[in-house]
Amino acid sequence: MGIKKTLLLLLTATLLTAPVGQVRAGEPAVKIVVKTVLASQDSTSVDPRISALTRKLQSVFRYSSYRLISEENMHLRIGETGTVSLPGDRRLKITPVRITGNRAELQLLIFKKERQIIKTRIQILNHGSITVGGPEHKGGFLLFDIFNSF
Amino acid sequence: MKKAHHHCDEELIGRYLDGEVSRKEHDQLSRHLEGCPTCQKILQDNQAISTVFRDNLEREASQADFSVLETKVLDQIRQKENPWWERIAKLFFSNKLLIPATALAALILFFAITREPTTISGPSAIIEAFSGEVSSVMIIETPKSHQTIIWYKETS
Repeated sequence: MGIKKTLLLLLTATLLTAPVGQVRAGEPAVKIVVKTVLASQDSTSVDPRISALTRKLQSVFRYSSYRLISEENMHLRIGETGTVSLPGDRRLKITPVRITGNRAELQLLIFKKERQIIKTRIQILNHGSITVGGPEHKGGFLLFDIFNSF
Repeated sequence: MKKAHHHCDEELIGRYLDGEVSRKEHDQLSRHLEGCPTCQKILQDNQAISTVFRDNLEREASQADFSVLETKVLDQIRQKENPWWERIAKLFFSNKLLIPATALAALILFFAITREPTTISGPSAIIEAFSGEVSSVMIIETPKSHQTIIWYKETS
């Protein structure tokens, strides 16, 4: 292949991949990662898998232990609902509503048994997360870190 | 092979009249003309024809309208010129532009692939609506990382 053809190929590849950001924004699939963490004063251990999250939480909370209980990944289309099982017979239902600019609008529902405890609608930054916490569990408190990217 | 200039040479006389002979030929023919009535006659005839032709040409030329001809020639030149899209295409596909454009494209690809997601100031999440069967709720934003936290207490 000649140098001219190679250069043209590279240029074409760039032109095709350049609007990836915009295409991504228009894609219906939103990647969701839900980490369930148990924060307590039981010990001084910090799970290395959640060190970045722990650093954020330690700036406002005074728990000495942060333990990752579970992690769940899912890809949801706009309007599609994903369910995550949480400790204590709880469930988290996540529904991406729309994507506006650099934020995804999500509806979050938390149930305990069949009772709806929380219903909230948030606008979350792309590659950002929100932490929902507070339920008591096994001498500590549960935190649900909900990350998204699209 | 050079012609002998001491003989009558009509072609040489023609070039002599047009000033297209060498210095040596000029001198030789000038000497020959002095003693050759035939060549003198040829030279005079050629001069006469040349004068008549030049005079007629100048007269015709002075009467001719060259603006029409100029317009036609310019139109033909314009038609032969490449259209704008062809000129752009030629410029684009020439190495002069292709190499810098490709280098720029390679840089864009490199940064698009390797760069970290842009950090935007502001809360990681904005709460649009909240409702629930809770006894209390707090919405917190961490100081530096701007992490949004919803902290609630379930009703017993």
